[in-house]
Amino acid sequence: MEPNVVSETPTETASSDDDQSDRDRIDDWAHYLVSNAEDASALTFADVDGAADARSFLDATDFSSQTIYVERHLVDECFRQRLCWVRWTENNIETDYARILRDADVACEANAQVAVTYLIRLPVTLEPGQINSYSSGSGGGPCPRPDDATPEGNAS
Amino acid sequence: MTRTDRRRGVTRRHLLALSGAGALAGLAGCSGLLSGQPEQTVDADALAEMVAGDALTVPETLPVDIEASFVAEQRSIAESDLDRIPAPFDSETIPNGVIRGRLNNMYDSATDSVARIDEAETPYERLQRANRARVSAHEARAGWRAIDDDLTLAALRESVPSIEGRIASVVQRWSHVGDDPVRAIVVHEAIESEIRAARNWLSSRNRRERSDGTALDVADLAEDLERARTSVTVAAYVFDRFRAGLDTTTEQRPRFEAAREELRTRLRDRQDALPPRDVDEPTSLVDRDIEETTGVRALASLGTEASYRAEQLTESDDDPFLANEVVGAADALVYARAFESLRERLENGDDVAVESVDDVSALRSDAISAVEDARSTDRGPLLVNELLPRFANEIRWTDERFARESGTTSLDSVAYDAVDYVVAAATCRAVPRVSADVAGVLRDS
Repeated sequence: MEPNVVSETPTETASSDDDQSDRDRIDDWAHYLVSNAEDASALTFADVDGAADARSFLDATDFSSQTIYVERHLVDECFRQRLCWVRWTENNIETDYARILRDADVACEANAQVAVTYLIRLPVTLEPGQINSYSSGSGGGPCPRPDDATPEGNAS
Repeated sequence: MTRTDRRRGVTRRHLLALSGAGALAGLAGCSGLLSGQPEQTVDADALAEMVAGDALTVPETLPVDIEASFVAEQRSIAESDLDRIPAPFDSETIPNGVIRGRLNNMYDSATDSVARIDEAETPYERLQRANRARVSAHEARAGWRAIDDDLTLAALRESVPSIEGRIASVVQRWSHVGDDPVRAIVVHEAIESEIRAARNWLSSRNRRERSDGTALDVADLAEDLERARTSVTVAAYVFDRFRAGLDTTTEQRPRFEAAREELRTRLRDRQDALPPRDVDEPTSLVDRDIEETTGVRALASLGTEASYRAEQLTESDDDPFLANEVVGAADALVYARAFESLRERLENGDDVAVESVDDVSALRSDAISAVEDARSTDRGPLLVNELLPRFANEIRWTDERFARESGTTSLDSVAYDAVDYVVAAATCRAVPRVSADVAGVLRDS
């Protein structure tokens, strides 16, 4: 099936967590789909920057035609992570991120990591049980285009 | 479910090296299991002891009188940059730990290079160290100026035309003059390499266009530009010093072109006896029953190098960097001759196998003897001095791998690492004869 692609999507950072004592319980990479309002209401947010925006983003989602893809990574704290593109079929979701060095005056340590969660609104209804493949890439430099994808849809 | 890290700087060569190492490691791990035998190991401490002491190094030389004052000038430029940055940096001056760490590394590298200039054995190596210091110091200062003084990529790019102008100026007045053609080929090879390097550093556009303008991007671009500056400075200096010292300034280009053709012919004559560039079954290269020993693996490595280089040179268009091609042909002939002599040794019954630390030690001693013999030869000494360092220094890289070992280590892995000792011995033994042959071709052309 031809994948659907949204590139350069404005992203919504739901939460970040720099509590190093929690490192052991935070998986490096986690992801799931929110496909209905009931599940969206059940989500809770830590008291971090972006939490209110994330709640508003969820509330404004029309689950009759849209799905939220939630993806979390551990990111070196001296870098920002920017979503380059997301593409999907009814069985597969892929994302790609750019890793961008923060400015020199941002206080951070070279070896410290933070958890960053993205809420990505997809303009389609997806069944969580049918998605059997997830992948995610990242790298330095500007965002690339997906090699074999046809851009489709508007940024959400 | 997959996760990838795209855009990492892994070249095809790296990938090949990694896959080769992985395959070998896999085989090494499986061999004992398949046979039901525990994996054989050797005493790694004994290996580390074997390579303890002063490392064998063959310094790089250039048959031009490089003045101490010229080296001092480059050193002074480096020190001037270092004096103008408040390093080492702490978290108050640069809060971002990644940027702070990188700039401190650049500063440390520059100060280390400055401190080691006088330790180098030859004026040419002292010059190289001074230039390394210049580049690192300039890189660190540019990174700091991006933070403290708003130095930008655009401002740095404004200096590109003036560097291009300096390269054009050198190329315009440079020609393949000389008196002794062998000395001339060595000197012009160095000049060509610097001109080529200067152009390459200026044209590394991908890196510049992809950068975001962070302090590290500014430092990276400043590093490229300073490398280009040091290369063009050395090219101009070496050419001027060389030409000024000549009694007669005969144009050597026709002679170099004739020599290149003769060396290409000699390489073509040997190509049929060389293996394909990818050797699937190294034991098939030896005309007798033999296991895949260290010597057989070394034979495959030599054959691959020889084939690759011969193919590049015999199929290339005429490169404007003529001296590079003549010296490149000499390199290819060294590999070809080393391949032939090692194959003969293996076919005559010597397995060149590694079963113990003593075997490794014997291979290493043989390699060191080959280097010492080459250094004391009177056959084509100018070309020996040019060619030998890159072959001989393979011994040091292998020594450094063994120096890091401790406890016990796998015999298979040691036998694999020892391949480089065999390669070094065979190539260093071939260097004097090839040097004499190439010198003869140059003088007779």
